[in-house]
Amino acid sequence: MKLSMYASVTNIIPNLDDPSKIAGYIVDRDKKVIDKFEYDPAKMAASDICHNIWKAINL
Amino acid sequence: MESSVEDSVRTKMESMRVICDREITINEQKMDSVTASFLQSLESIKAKARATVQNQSKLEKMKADLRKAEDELVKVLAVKTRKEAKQMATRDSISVTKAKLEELKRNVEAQRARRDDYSAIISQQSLALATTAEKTKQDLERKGQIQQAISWYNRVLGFHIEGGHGVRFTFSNINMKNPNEEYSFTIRHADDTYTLLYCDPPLNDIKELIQELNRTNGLFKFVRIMREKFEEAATVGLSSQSSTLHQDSCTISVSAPSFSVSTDRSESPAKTNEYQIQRGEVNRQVNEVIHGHESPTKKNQLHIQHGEVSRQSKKANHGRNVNPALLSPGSASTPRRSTRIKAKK
Repeated sequence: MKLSMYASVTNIIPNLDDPSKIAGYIVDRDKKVIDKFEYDPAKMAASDICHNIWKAINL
Repeated sequence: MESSVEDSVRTKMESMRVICDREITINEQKMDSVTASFLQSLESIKAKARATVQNQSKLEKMKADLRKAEDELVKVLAVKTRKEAKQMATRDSISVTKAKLEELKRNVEAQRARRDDYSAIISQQSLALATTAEKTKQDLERKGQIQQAISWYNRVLGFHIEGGHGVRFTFSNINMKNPNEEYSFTIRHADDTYTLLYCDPPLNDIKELIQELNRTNGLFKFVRIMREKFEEAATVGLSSQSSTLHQDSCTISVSAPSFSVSTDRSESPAKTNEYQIQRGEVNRQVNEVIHGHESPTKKNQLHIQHGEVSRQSKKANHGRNVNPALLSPGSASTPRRSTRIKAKK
């Protein structure tokens, strides 16, 4: 229920396979499109990654 | 004459004597034969007597043997009787044992049947237990995965959702200068209406956003928009902090065109909801801080600040009274902190 709320608000399905990466999929149900994203936390600040993902969510 | 009679008697006597002699001889012969016969008989009798004696001794022996045999017979009969009695007892015992054995066999059959029933039940229960254990394991794994995913949203997106009286959405990583600062709002859905219970920091166009939310029922989009609004507020806050702090104190003095209106009853239901935001159950922490020792007019002024001005000015007024010192440029230079943290202090 709670997870559904997270996913519905963000439209993101996280990919938890590789813990060293921050990756997932942004799902656009209306357009039936899935955008994959992947960030390396070693190369980018967590706050920048957060901003980028939210920006992608709100596109 | 007397001689003749004598002769005749003599003769007669002589004849008689001859006859007697003859008879004597015969009788002697007879006597001899009888004697011989007697002797023979005697011998025979003696032999018989001897045989009889022998027979008697044999008889005595036989009698003794017979008595012994009788004694033996009695003993044997007694033994036989005892054995027969024992046999009878043994037969009885065997029949009792057989009956017991039959009963035990029936018991064994019943126990076997019961054991089979219990085995069937145990196997069923084992299957059910295994299924339940597997399901529990899967549930735990699923819960772990769900928790992992939720942690991902919390950590990566700085996004928290908490249920309670309404749903509280909290964001971090909004303010670039202080990524840990939290921006949050609580929204409640009841009677087909969304009500904003709490919003920190307050946003100036929140009323329209709530109206839009109640019109479209798009909660998810509303949450995303709220984050954008928080970002905007943070950006404005940063810029105002750096350049326009003086304007804040000017804005405070403006009379309240009412984000905080509390008496206008002609407003739409959405607006009514906003009264709730301003009144009671809403944002008690903020109200306590804001309304602490203020006059109503001052309250309105503060609400204007919250609604229309940047968070910077709000922070300046979080004290118990509107302290001019807090509104001074000097106070604007103090680092920005979470309202909640401030309220706790």
